[in-house]
Amino acid sequence: MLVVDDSDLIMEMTKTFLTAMGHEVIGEAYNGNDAVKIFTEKRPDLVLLDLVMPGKNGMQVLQEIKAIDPAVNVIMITAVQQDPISRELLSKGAAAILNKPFIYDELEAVLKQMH
Amino acid sequence: MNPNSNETLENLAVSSLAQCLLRISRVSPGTWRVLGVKVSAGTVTDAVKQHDFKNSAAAVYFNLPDASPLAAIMLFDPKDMVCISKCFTGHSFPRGPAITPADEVMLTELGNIVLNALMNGFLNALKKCVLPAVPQMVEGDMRRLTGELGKIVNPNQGFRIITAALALQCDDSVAMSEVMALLPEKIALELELLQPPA
Repeated sequence: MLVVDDSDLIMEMTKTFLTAMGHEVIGEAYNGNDAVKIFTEKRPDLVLLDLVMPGKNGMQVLQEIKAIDPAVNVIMITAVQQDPISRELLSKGAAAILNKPFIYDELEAVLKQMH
Repeated sequence: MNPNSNETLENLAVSSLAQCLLRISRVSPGTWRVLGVKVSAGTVTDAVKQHDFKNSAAAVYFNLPDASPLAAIMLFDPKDMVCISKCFTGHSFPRGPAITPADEVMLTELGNIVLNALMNGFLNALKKCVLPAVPQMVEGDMRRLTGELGKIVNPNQGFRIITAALALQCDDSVAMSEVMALLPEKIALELELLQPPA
């Protein structure tokens, strides 16, 4: 699993939740450019991806990694809840959108949908 | 400004923020609420002047780079950092003489969530979408804050300023914050036309 977020707070919280759920975090990125690079190298089957980040934003990263691996599951994590943006994320292949702030149970429920 | 027009903007702001704060209250140890909302007109400096600068202030802010750029600002008093951190994360961050890197990370994420909620409400009402810029944080006196904010919005431009006062409480400690949306007049007028007061 790859976690992408420019916030240390969200990164640490997400990794703690994932580890407690028994998932393995094989990569972490704090900006969009590193996210694409790490994804290309490690090919995780699931990506938790922030939308607003320095460099490439989450929408651009989503398109790039879906082009590399159309089967990858991408969960967007964002505080931006604008209807046209949510629709565009889903149309570009996001499997789900998790709104900030989120709790353990919400992340767990979204991950269960992936399996 | 027409008082009824202001009421429309106030209602949108209260609705968006109240939903967001209810959610934060559910997922964090603190109780978060909107104390009140007011609408004024002025520049970014006029907006920041509304904060009571007894101490320095910390501001989290971003712009939304549209044809008519919007901006959002959340102001905190650094002396409230112990209460804010406890309310948001459940841990009291130790209070130092200045904002620490951990404080900055926490305030930026909190501002990101609250400011997006406010702007989402306005943009969804207009059926518009604008991806916000990455949130930034600055600490200092009024001159420093207006200097930094002047880099993301034209310091001479007039805006409709929607200001919400927030209160957050955890155990016996209470802190306040101000949240501001800077809307270009064109967008404020579009919102008034879309949603007349009941």
